[in-house]
Amino acid sequence: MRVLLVEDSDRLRHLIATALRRSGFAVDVACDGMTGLRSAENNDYDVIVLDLMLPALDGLSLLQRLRAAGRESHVLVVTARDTVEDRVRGLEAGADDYLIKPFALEELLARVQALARRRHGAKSPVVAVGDLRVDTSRRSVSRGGRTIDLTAREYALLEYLAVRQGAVVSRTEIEAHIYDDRVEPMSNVVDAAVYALRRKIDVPGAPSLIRTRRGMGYVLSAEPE
Amino acid sequence: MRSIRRQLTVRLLVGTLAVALGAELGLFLYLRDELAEQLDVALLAKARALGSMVQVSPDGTLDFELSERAMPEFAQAEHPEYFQVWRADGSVFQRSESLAGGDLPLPPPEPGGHRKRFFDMPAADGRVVRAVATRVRPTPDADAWVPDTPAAAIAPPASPAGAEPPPLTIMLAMDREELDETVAHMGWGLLAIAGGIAGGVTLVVTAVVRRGLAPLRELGEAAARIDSETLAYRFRTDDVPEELKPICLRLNDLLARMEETLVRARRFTADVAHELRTPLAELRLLAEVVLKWPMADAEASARNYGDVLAIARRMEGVVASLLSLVRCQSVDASCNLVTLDLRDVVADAWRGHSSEAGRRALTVDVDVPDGLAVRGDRGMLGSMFGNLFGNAVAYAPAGGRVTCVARAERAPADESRVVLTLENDNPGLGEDDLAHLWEPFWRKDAARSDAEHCGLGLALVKAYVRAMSIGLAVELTRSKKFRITVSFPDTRDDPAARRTTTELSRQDGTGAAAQATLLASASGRAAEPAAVASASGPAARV
Repeated sequence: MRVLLVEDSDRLRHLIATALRRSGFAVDVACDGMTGLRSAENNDYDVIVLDLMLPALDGLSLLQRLRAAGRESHVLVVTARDTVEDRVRGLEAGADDYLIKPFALEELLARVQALARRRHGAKSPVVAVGDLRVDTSRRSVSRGGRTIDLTAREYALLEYLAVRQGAVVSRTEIEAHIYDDRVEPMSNVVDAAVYALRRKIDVPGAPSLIRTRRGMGYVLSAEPE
Repeated sequence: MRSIRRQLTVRLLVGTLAVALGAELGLFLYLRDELAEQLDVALLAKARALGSMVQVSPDGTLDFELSERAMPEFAQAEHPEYFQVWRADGSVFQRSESLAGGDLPLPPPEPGGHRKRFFDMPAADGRVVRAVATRVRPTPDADAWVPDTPAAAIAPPASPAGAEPPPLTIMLAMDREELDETVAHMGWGLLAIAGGIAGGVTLVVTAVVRRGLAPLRELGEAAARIDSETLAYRFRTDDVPEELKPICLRLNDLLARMEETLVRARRFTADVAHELRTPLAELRLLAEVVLKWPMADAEASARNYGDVLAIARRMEGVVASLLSLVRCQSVDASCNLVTLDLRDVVADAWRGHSSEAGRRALTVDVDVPDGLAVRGDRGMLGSMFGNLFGNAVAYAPAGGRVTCVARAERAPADESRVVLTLENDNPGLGEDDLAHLWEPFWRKDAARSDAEHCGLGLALVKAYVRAMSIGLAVELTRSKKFRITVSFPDTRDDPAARRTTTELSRQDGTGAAAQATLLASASGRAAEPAAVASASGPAARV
């Protein structure tokens, strides 16, 4: 899942981005409203974590312009403004959730995770593909009761395919949602990641859960072809 | 609890009833006495009429002829009206038949010699009767007696024939039961009227007091409904009684002030909370990230501890500024006013900002003549100029210019004052911003992304100048420069100022020049700058 973090405090931006990346999110950062708006307009983020009091362009204006442009990314407002009026104003401007500083890290991660799930229509934290279980809240994967250890990048790829199970996911989409601006994906980086993931989640002798659609992308499905 | 309405009602009732009862009592006594007097007058007239019926014959014998037709009451046995006549020697001369053989006591001689005397006395049947005793002198003819002749002038009864006959004493008594009954009826009537008055007055007073105090009650009820959430309420002043109008106006004024104070306090509290939330969020997040993903390398740990220290310092700065602000704004804020050399104060304050000015490549001109004596608190002045210089350095664009000039000037009323002007480029500031500069936590940058400033500096400066009675003004010049003017009041009458100036001059070895500057400013001439320092960045010095 790819997240845009728009926060003007250097220290907070660094800490939140670190926490999100370590939790498996691909994170882009922006330190002011205008930069954040440009990033949001140019990329399809699953979640945008947005501070309200921003230089250049305040968070509410950014949100309004984003919604006016038809962008459907889920937005989590993170701000020190705590009055009911502020919260209502933020939600009315198009925010999906509101978190007041200071906040617990786990709560931030859980809210970002929930928003990312909802972006793809999933409400349950556990996504099942056949006997494969992807627990998005605990960030754990198991198949047939056996726990599977994945790297953060592998987990992010599996989670993205799982929430869109049955649908063809292009390499471009995978790159856009799994890799942030800091990584310049090579042409075969997605294929390599899918290959590594197959080796960990597939059961010997059984058909792979991740199928390749030549020229189109990948499909995660337990249904036979 | 004391109630104005109750007190007013009770006092009005008591007062009105006391007046009414007093008036009734007075009326009763007056009427009673009037009736008694009328009875006495009637008694006396009848007694005199009886006296006129006593005739003296030429041989000196007395004759009494009662006209039964004119006074039939005396001819009736046991009539409540009767009389008795005594000769001068005290022997009974005549009794009315209505006495029924009874005997009246001879009244003692009247003190002072008056001929008539009224009194009450018990009758034989125990009832009280009203009586009059008077002396008459019988004469041959009816006009012979002189009723009001003093007793001393009356001749003794045993006078020889041909002399004036001795006087007779007549006592006429009348049962006063009728009078007493009339008085009693009158008293009861007046008492009934008093009761009616009391009831009526009670109703009227209660209604009038209730109606009269209704505006006060409504005012009280409206005031009781006001709490911290309804301070926007205002009392009506258009249809209230004149007596309450000043109260309503004053209450409205107080409410407006309280509302403004509360709004300011809430905004201040929200600002404080907001100002502390971001560093708190940083601190918490830093701790949680480190706990969740421990960092093994020493460099990362050192960086984290450095962050913790920086956050703590920032919060400490906010708290220290807040405490200073609260101390300065408190009523009992005290400052130790002493006379100081402005040049030293400015130099000390500038020292903390010169390196930042150099880093930002600012051109700094500081022109503060030596020996300019100003009056102020050393700590407050240092903090004040520190804040002003800090703002100038922080908000002037990189490569811009900061100018600080101080002069002794002649003020109106022939007073001399020291004026310091601090000027810097500040392209982001507009005319509308000037009104907000002194508000705590106000920053032009609504994002508050500047972690070094919390927006309390100029609020502190305002508190300092108030505490020290120093003038302060801000303006945007035509060339869009932000200018702050600090005016120090005259110190010529302050002996400490003269002493300090002398000492400063002696210490600096520039006595003549310094005193010349002060004298020039005191006499109103333009003071020539004693020293002009112009430097860029770190080299800037006063």
